[in-house]
Amino acid sequence: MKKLFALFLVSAVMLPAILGGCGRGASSEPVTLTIWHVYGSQTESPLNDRINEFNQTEGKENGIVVSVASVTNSSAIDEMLTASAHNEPGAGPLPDLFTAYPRVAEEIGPENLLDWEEVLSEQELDTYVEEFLEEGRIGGRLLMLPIAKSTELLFLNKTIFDRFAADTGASEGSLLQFESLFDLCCQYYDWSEGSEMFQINDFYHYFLTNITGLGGQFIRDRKPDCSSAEFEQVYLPMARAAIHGGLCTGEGYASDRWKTAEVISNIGSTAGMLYLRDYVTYEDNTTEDIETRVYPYPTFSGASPVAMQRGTGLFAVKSQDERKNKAAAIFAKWITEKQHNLDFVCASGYLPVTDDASSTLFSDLSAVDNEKYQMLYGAVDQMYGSYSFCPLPLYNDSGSIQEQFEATVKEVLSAAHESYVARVEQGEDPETVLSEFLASSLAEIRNATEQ
Amino acid sequence: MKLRLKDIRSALGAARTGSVSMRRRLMLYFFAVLLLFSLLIAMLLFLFGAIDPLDSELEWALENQLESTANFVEWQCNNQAAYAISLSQQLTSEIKEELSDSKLTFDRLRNDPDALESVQNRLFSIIHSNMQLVPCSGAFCFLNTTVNDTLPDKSYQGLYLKYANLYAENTIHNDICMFRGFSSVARENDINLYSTWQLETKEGLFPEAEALMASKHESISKAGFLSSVYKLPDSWENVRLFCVPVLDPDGNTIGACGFEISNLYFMLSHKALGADQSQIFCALFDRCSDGYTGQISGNQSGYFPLVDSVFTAENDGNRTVFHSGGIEYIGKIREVRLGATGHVVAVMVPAEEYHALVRTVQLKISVILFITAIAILIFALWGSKRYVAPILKDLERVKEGVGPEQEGSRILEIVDLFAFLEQQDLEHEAAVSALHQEAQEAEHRLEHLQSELSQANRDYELAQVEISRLAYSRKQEVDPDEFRFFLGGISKFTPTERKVFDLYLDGKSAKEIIEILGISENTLKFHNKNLYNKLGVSSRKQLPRYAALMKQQETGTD
Repeated sequence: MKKLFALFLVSAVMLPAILGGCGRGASSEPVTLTIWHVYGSQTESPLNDRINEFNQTEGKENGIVVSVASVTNSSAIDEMLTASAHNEPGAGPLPDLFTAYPRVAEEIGPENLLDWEEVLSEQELDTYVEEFLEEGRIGGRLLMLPIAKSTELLFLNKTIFDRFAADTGASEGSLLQFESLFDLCCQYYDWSEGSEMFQINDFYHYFLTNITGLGGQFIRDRKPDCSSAEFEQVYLPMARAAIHGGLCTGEGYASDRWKTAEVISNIGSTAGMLYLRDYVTYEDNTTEDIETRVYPYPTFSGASPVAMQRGTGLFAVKSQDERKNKAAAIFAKWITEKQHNLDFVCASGYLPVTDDASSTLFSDLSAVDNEKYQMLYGAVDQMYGSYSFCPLPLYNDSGSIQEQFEATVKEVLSAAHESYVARVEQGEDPETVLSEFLASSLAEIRNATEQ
Repeated sequence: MKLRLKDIRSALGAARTGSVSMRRRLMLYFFAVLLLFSLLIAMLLFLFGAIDPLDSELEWALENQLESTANFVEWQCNNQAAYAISLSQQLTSEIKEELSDSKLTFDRLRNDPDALESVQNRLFSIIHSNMQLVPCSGAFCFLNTTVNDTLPDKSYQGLYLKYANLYAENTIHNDICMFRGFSSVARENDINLYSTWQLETKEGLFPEAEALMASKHESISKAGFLSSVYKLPDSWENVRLFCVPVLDPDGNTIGACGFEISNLYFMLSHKALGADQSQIFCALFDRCSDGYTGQISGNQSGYFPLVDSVFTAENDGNRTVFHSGGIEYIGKIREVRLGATGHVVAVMVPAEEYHALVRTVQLKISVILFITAIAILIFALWGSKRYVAPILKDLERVKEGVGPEQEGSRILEIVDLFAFLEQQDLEHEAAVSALHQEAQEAEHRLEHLQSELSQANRDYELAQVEISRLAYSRKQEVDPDEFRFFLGGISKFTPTERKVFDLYLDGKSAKEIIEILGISENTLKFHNKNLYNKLGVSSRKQLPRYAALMKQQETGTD
């Protein structure tokens, strides 16, 4: 009797647990991981293709579904993540996975992010390029796992440049050094009667690499230092082209203006190749096929060649559901496994993140199917060995400081260009006006960054 | 527990053989009655709908989600329709003003990039502002004209804006980009181009919108419709368009405008509620030759199904069984009319999950039944013990002979039983006492009879002695030859003579012999004469003497 009563009590106490717990057996349900990423924007994203492959293979075997909830760009994703992390009105919940630069970790709170060293073994982590891993270590924890990296190159619409060169005698060799490149910009502006030849996607990167190449230091005391001689040395040739015309200082990516031949050259991420079309569209809706050329990142004369080591990495929001953390690790391992990583990066212009995949890619570039990408990796290969690569410095509020610096440079130079054009049209001496604006714009930028 | 089960088994076994203790019998009765009562209650609850069939929870969830999704889709579409009509009217007005300002007709816009760019610049703010008011992922205005009609690939003009970087249903954080339109207009308004931007829209991309633009319409509202799903070229996006015609002041169709609902936006804005069914999801379908195709959502839980673009479907009673991507789904569908076109709202759940949920309900019921059975058993055991214990106690007292007056029973029947037994005891005692007296009397009688018997035996022994003494004396008076002749004469008797002889031996008198045999005195004398002759005796006195002697000899021989 007592035993029966004890059984009844145990059953009654456990009933809610049994009825609640037995609901569909949580362990058998598939784990869905939402991801926001920056690979492909609105084009047919190479990462989406790989994710589909993962879902149909490794994901299916392990009961994991990776669902792409947003494909965006590296600037927009920071805003989206910050809005979500701070529960701003209208913002959705944070995704389970996202790709971003390390700077966003501070906004989200590093404690909310998964430490990859907790879910990946030392042996697994040893396969990654060590510098790439270092970039993802924040506060001693590996919060960003590299899945694809990039550097910056110079892209050229050779078809239009050839027409310009035929008329002016300009040579492609002038594109390899910034001084001659900016001179070409001015020439092109005059030749095309007001069109811009060249766009720098990221002025912050431009100053960072070139000041470093000249032996200076761009980031000092957690902000850009515009007071140095190296800054002036890097600023003036660029500003001359911007104020005269020929160097675009407008908003937006160079790939937009590339579509309409509003610029014919730019320096930007290797991944920009995905957005650089093989044709341009004119205002009457006619199109022209173009030939694209890729060159190593230009340098200043006398400077050590330095280029950016770019690329967002994969973050996982730490989940209370341990299955999600494990699923994130399985996906991360799969996407960085040699062949999957090569498939992904070679379709998007990125660089592989493991030593094995990297040596495979650069040991035989003819294995890359697409000729444009073959050329791209050829340019990168030229840089390996002679260039040093620097990652984005991470410091307090670095994201917004970078954004602010970028906006200031563009705003100051755009305004200077408009004023310059207006005053020259009014008959003032171009060189005098140019010198005046070079000095005033430099002072304005220095003043803005010191505040 | 083992002990109890053993008890139950033995009780059941004993019940079969008919020798069951009162407590066990009562326990079995309790158990059976309560079980039957519980089953009866369950059956009645089931019959009157208080208990639902196993899959009713899922059916309810599917039905509820279907109702919710259909209502939301209709609300969203009505919203888009209202704003699209308003947008169409604003565009008509704006184009009229632009044409008036530029002193052009609509037809003169054809092949005039500058004029068309100017029109687009004017329309931008209208489309942009309407887009931000409506639940959508983009807004557009196509016009029946082109910037260059000499090109081999025919296209039409228009401004098509989309939200870039969509990541939530709410679009307030999103930048806008240009999918179709003049890049200079994008630049002017400080927005980027869509990755697969084109200046114009090639014919054939949105056939339903193009058909709308090619037709004449009496009413903007009646012509509005929700299109099927189109893939945006070179993009990963698929979209539907809610379209209404754009008319000139004379009522001629000059274009189409409306709003875009991309698959991503549908997914973000139509997530099924998670709660208990974390894999339920909904879809807005159109019929196609192979089944259904359209837009699907995920679940608030984060679940998103891996499916192909086409769902095959077959009816299964009031449910529909879908197949897509090699997976079976069970769900429900409802026809909805969105503007001028019919669509199908569907909600479904993976069949595996559906069956798992049914198994969960089965498990719940099994657990409840098990616990109920245990509870009934415990009550049966407890109740029977509680009920029978005082009876057994009283019975034990009865066995011990303790009366109710010493430890009063609280059970009326037992009190009556005690009274009955007491009466029985009294009667029994009286009977015993009577029997005891009778036994004593019998003992006395026995003793008396035994003393009489002893006396009789003594008399008999004395008589025997006397008889022996007499026999011996007579034997001394009897001639042995005569006596032997006497013994030899007996064998010569006739039967009647023998009877007479025996009667003489028994001591009967002649008179008694005459009466006994019913013969006359002469006949007796005749027999006597024969007897005397055969026995060789001369008188009747000699006859008894020889007879006694003969008897003594026979006794002595024995």
